[in-house]
Amino acid sequence: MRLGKLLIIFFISQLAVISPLYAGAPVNVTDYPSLNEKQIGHVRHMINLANKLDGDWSMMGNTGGGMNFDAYQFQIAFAAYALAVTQDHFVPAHRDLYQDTSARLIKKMMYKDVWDYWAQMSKGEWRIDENGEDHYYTEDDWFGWIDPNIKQNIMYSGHLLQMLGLHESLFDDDRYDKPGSLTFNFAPVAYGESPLEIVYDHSRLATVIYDQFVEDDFRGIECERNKVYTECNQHPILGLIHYDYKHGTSYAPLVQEEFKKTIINRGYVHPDTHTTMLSLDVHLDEVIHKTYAWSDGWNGLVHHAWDKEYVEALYDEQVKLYMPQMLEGEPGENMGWTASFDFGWLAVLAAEVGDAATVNLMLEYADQYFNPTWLDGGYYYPHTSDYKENFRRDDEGKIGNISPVTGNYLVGFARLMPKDGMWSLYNRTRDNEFFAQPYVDGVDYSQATVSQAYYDSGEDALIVTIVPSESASNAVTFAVNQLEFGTRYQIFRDGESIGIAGSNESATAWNSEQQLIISNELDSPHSYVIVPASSLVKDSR
Amino acid sequence: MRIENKLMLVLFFLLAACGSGQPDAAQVHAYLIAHPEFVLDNPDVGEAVKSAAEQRRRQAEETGRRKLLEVNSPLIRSVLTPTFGNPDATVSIIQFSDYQCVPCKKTYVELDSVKNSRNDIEVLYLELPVYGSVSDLAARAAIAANINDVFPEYHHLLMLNDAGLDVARIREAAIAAGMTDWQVENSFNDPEIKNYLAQIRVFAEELDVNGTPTFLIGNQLVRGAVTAPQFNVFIDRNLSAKTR
Repeated sequence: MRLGKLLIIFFISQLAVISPLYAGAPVNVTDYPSLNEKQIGHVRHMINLANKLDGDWSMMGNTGGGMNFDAYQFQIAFAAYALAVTQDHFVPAHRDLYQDTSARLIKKMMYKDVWDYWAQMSKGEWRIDENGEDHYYTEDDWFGWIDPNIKQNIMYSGHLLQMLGLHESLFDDDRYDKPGSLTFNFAPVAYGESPLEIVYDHSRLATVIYDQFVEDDFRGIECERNKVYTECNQHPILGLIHYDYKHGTSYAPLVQEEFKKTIINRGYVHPDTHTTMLSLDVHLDEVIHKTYAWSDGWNGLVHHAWDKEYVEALYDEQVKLYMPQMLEGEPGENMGWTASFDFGWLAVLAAEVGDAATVNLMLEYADQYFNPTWLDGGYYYPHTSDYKENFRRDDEGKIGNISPVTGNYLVGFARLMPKDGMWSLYNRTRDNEFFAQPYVDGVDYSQATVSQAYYDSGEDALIVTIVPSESASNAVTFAVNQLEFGTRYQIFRDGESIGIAGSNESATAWNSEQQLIISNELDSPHSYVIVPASSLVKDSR
Repeated sequence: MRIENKLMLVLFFLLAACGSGQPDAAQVHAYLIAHPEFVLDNPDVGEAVKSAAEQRRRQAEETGRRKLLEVNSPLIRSVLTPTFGNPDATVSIIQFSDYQCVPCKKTYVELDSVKNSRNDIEVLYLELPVYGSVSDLAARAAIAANINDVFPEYHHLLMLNDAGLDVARIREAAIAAGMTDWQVENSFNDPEIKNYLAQIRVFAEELDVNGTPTFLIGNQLVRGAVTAPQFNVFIDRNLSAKTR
């Protein structure tokens, strides 16, 4: 045996002497965020839907039949936001599942059923001419304009931009920066027209949207022709914040500053009621005020991410206005007409601003009246068959109509959302140091869920909890990445030391890629704490 | 008379009437540009154009599929893919299916009878689990069953299983088919099998498969349950196309 090897063996044996194994974990896993059973269910339901084949929209309702908030683009986008918040808060050291799902959701946004329908809808414009007649489409609407991002469709493009920004900033993944990475394919069948490719990438989308803000003098980009909604314009702002952060540009600050002035000066938020306008009629240049909980919930949720104090100052008045008539009885005049949407978006805003009492009340209500259902490890509230008649309440005055976006995503989002969940995504962005930290991957989604994964840099400890699914086999393995190879790590399972990483007794092994492979039994949830053995020695002195 | 022929005939007489004799493509083009109202005034011409466009779209799809099949040939013909029949058969049937999919189970019996009644086909079974976690595990075990030469038995047991599926039932079927408990357990976590299935999924989505069962019979994509007589029609159509 070579002398070097002998020296290493001697050195390691001495280390074993000076760093005895410690029986109790140095940190308590309950001190770190962890998904509970229902939260795991919501996450799995959202991922299950994202995992469906392209073109399979089962459980997501029908996007057709005119303007509605259950359109696939909104469901897909809110799945992305809910999963982003979840990943950021509960499992920042577990990225592969969420990164793959995010890419799947972006791919779904590029699916023609999603973008083309709304490109068409956004060209719709109800106008009444001087003779009092309705006008909707023009020939130009149908044949002269296919690109879903270029104008007057921020209710699609804004979501796409936000999703791209989240993907890049959460996972340090720049795949959408590549030219042509976002190519929309349109294949008209009529009259032998050639297929059309509309070629985008992250940068082009950001630029196109920024230019529209400037062109519209920051009054907000039309979500559909002739209509500016405040909430639609919040999403591209968040998209630009992340874009700037990863690309070194500075699009967002000007848009934030100027759009905020518009909100105040044009009364997009009514100074007396503190509620968000329904919309701005561009042709009439008229702000249309309504008091809709969905509108305040939706706008507040996204606006809060970049203007926390302002939104929190409005929230108390808004929640007083909408609760408790939200939950039972005849809705008052100052109440939205879309009970299920109102419920969903207000619940998410309440969670974002940390109004735990309202959130808990609403979650209990949903669990009692919305037919909660478990399916393939997922927890959700199935949409009712006549969900498009959204106003209906039952004989007791309870909300009886659940829409897909509420049942699939919004209630789950409210349950997953920690206080300031959205705000954190845009104010505690991830840097290179974060991406160099230890993390886990390779946990088989079909058999288990990672309910917590957190690297505590102060303690130099990686905390991971694996919860078996219903369809679990006996065991799964997972990999721990970016540990310092050659360092002795002590592993604690469920609070007890199981030995040094790589040793037989710890059921772990280093592989050739310097990953630590851990074999985890799926008999019940198990928590792991992985720390350098040397740090325990230091602490014990 | 086919509508496309009618279009040509109309144009021919039209241009002949103008004294130009047999019209060439440039003349037809110039005439239509000068008189677009001709198409508007003759709805059957518009229909003919639509029909031609549809035919072109179908041809483009078929060309795209042919390319995809070519590029993915190593995957489709992987040793992990369960196959039946003559690999030199004139017609290949690629089946995308899931063990929890009811129409897949119905089609199983139909395809089985077709397999038993003719020797000019090859069937390639591409596992496409779309019904969630249990389907994932059932598909992994199916590939392991193929590795262990007991795929037909395992496939038969699960396709005829009309009770719900869970991990215990998958195990039971795999062991009844001839696998060991260790082989079954191993299949659930085999990275090679998982990677293979992930590639099948990508291939399916590229083919625009959006549900199970879906069949690629020759170069023709057939969605949903298929009866034995329908299978035979599709197969014969492919055979005659190849003969031509």
